Amino acid sequence: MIKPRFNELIHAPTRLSLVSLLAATEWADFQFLRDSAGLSDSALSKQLTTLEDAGYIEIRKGFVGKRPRTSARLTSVGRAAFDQHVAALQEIVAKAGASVLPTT
Amino acid sequence: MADQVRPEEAARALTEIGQRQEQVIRLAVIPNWYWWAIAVLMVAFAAAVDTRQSLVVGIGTAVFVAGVLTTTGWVMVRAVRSAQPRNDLLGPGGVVAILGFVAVTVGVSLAVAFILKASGVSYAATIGVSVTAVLLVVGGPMLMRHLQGRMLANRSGSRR
Repeated sequence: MIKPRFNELIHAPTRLSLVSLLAATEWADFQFLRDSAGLSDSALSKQLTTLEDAGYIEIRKGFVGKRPRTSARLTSVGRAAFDQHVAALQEIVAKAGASVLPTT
Repeated sequence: MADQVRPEEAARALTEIGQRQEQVIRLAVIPNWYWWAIAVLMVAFAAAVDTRQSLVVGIGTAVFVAGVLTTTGWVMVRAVRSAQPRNDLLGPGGVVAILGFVAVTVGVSLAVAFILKASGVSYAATIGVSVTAVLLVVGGPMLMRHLQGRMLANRSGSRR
């Protein structure tokens, strides 16, 4: 049973998108995250650093041939925080009744 | 802070979460053309082998290997450049579905090939592999849809 816990850091729209993408993946490529979230390189780097500083994600830098490749994944702490945040959002919606159920 | 979040905003956030996760899952699926490509390559290779002419077998082998490497490589590169869904999204049922698909495909193909060979039918390998090809073209996309459904059901925040 996941204990609902609203997370302000994750709830910010851009970070919510990024963490949601990462929550469904093993490792996600920097380019994929940038294009999916519609961010610039610098904006994505900033958001990833914020999440990394919080201990929510792990960043891996490597090379494929001579080309640098950066990937990110959610840590166990980040996954737990995300699951608790989702539970908190569901709780808020549930308390309000069926009229505001999410569309997915 | 949670008290300040309106239900509509929470619902929008849940929708965003669901859509983003769905985006990852939809991208991870093997495209339909891949099943067709592998099926055509297999049938062509089997037909080449059935001719028993060394030049044709050689060309057929080269085309088969190059084709499989190119198509599979393309699918792999696409996967690496995006994001691989978490393994646990599939769940035990997904693994069983994959193994079942492989077992049925291989089992039916071998059975057909052996029966045809025992019956003395010409081009037994080609006919047997054609059955496999049909199974791949029909079953492959069905398997992908099934796995997609499983992963969507197992993602965070989904209503189970």
